[in-house]
Amino acid sequence: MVNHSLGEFEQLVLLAILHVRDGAYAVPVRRVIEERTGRPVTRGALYTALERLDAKGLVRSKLGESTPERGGRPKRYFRVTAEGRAALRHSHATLTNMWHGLESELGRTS
Amino acid sequence: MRPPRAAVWLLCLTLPGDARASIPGDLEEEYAAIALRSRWRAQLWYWVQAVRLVVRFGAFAVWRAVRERVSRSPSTFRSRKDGLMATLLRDLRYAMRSLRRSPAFALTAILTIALGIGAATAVFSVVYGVLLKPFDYEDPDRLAVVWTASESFPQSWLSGPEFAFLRDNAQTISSGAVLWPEFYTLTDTGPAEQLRGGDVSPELFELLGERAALGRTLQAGDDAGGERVVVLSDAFWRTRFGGERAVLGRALTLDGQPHTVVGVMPPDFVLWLPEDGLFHERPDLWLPLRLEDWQSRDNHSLLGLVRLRDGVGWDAFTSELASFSEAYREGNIGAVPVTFRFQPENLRADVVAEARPVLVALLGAVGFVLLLVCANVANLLLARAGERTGEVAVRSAVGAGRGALVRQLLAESLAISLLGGALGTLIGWSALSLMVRLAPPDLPRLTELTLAVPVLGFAALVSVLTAALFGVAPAIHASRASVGTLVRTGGRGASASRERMRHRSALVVGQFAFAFVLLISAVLLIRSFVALSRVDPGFTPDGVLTMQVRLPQQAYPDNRTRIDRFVLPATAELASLPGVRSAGVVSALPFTADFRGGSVWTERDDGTPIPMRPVDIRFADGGYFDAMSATLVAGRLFDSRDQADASAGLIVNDVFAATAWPGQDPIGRRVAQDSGMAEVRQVIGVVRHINHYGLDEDPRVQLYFPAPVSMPPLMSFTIAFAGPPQPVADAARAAIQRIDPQLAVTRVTTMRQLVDASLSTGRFQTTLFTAFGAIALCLAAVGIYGVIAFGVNHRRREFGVRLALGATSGDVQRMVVGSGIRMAGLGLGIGLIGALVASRLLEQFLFGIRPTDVTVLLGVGLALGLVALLAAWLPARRATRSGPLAALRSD
Repeated sequence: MVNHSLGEFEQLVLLAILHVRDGAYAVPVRRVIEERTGRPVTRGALYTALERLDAKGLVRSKLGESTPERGGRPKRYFRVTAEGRAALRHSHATLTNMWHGLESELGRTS
Repeated sequence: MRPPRAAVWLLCLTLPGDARASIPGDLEEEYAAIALRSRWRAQLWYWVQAVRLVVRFGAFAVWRAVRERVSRSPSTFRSRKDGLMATLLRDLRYAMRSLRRSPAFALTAILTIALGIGAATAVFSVVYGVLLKPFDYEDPDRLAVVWTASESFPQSWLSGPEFAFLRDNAQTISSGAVLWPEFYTLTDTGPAEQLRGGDVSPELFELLGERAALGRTLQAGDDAGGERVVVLSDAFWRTRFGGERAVLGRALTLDGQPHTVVGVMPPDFVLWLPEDGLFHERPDLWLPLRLEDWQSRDNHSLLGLVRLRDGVGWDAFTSELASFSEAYREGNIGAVPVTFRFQPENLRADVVAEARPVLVALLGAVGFVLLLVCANVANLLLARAGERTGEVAVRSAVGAGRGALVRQLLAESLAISLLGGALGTLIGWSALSLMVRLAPPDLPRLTELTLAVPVLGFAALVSVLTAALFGVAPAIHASRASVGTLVRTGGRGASASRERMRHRSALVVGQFAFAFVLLISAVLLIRSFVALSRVDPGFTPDGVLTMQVRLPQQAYPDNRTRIDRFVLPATAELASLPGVRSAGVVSALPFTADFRGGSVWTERDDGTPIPMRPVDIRFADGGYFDAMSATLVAGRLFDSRDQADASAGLIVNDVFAATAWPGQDPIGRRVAQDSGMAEVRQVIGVVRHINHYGLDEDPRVQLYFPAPVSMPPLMSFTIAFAGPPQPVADAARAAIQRIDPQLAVTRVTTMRQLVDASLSTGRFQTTLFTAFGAIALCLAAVGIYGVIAFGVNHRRREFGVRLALGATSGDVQRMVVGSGIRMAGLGLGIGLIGALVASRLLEQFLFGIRPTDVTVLLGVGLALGLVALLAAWLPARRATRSGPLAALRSD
């Protein structure tokens, strides 16, 4: 298995897709990131990150139904692949390892 | 509510694959949510998002391409296994690289194209949106306005009987409606509020093919005299009733009468009607008009609208109207002038009639700018082709086929056009919103303007074609020449290059000609605008506050009540306010759409009555002339002697006096409102002409009746004040409401603002022409500089030899500058003819200056000559600064 190291924003995007579960397309994904992190996400950054993740095989997408309020244009649904999940776990483990032993100095986060 | 089409189109053009469908979908979803609050903001938001995404995906594509290039070796030539797309992309990539190597060329070319496309697109969009786009009504081109015309009144609306005659007899129309612009005072809740709207034939909405968004529109039978009903506009419904559906069936008290709300029109419903300022602003509500109330044959106050029957052509319609004119005259002999006729106009043509000449002139100007742009791009590309002859020769020597070479150059031209086009779209978009902000408020259909995509495409196509033609043609020419020759001469000295210089000089000559025409037009308009701003309108607009009041029929049923209970106490109250020098009242305020015209009779020395028509009739008091600082020419103004009906006199203007009694004393002459000279008044004073419709109007015959004797319900106060206007306005409004709290005070403004607004069309046109003139000047300067600089580079060796043989650097400079001046001179000569033609076309916009003004022609010619001199002198100086040895060694 190729070991992808994920950028912070890529992790946020993958996690957001998992949060939304079924029906994750760009609009709710962006909303989840903004709500949970409290920072604004530009659409361009999100779309290019999704393209990149797709190219790396960490997410897969398919075109879904189109609705009139979207001007008859389809939604593009994303799901996280097994590789994507593995990469997330790997990133989490890396961070946890790095944190280990510093809790007293930095304080508990949550 | 759809997002801006140009932005969607831009997105679809740039986004890859699946994203092309899904991303605009995402944006549209969010757009819809924002558009619910503000449509304007949503449009802006969509544009910002689209541009950001295009930039972002552009960068993303470049990043990918770079990564690909690292893994694959680059090649400029198409290998067989690549697809067409891959080849094209590679050519484009190569083109970008080669453009990066000559940034000055690339930037100039791209900016030039962007300016041209941007300016053309913005102007074409306005022209399309205002003049050409059909109205949203059902089958809009079958709608016509019917005017009446006679010798004395060349354009009037209809009277009730005229309309009834048309509607009942005409075979070529399927339906008709009349409208009367009206104000209503709403007194249900809170302070009285003045609403604008109209009494309209209930059939109007069906005639237009418009339905209500809520409830129903007015319909046949609403004028039968049963329950009084009213239909609201969307804007009024939202602001006044918060968009509540329960408004249906609600009672509104309008002018003291209860009315029932039966419907609300949709938000995009606009009643487009010609000419009248009252109609251009969105009305609040519509009431059914009862034709029985309009039986007077002389009251031409109804705007008539008809729909042509299906299958009836315009010619059949006009010829039927012509025969009707005769029939109507014959049926009303004595009561209708013998020159009377019905006169139809297409609705859209009529609505935009006043805007048309200004816009057509702008269209012409921007067409010239586009031509200049094409000339400049051609010039730049020809120069570049010259520089690259050597490169082309080497490439074909090492085996590149002609096809590959041409494709390469084409790609470069294409890259320039695409970048220029993208930038041009942005420029066009911002120029359009700038134009909308700058545009005169009475330009119709302003609010519906959008960037016209077909126009954008057209401008882009023109520039791509120019680029392709001038970028590729020389390349083909060059690749045909013998490789050996080209390599030997290093691309210089070949006959192809001399031919190119000739072409380029011709282009520069053309540029100067175009620039001359544009600059002459701009300067003429500026001079005319300045002259117009300096016109004395017959009053002093500074320090005069005005406000309008309309007395409702219910509370003020007759003339005497209006005067005793309102006009006299109000003027006295206003004049006594602190900071007020004097206050007066007038029935129709200058520089507004208020108007009343008619006929009066005066008499010769032997007592025979002479008709005076048309006459602008006003009702005013002495305070009006005083507040406006009007000039008294003879006699006196109205004063306490004119309070009583029997003894009151009247005032005429100097034009009236000179027309009616040339060379005689006007004071004491008798004027009546009827030919029998029954109710006569004596002229007590003569004032100077006061402009009413604008600073450029021809003198009109004007007459003033004393306001203390008669006053119509709609009137304006004029208050001469010192200090800041706002406190005075507040105090004046309070003073009027102290007299009658039920009255609504409207159109609170200063005379200065009204006069300024009348200048806005001129300002709009002058600003745009000046901008185009400046662009033209820059482009022409760049053109001549480019050609001379290139020529100088080319003849370096020749100059070296000349210098070595004893020519002074002054001689060489004179030679170079001379060739530049010759080009400019020739251009100016040709341009002079064009300028004379163009200024003739501009004549209708000019005021106080002749189109062939010699100082303007000379001044602009001289200025352009100086620019040419400077642009030629810079490279000339460079040519001689390095000595002969350096010049000779330059290979």
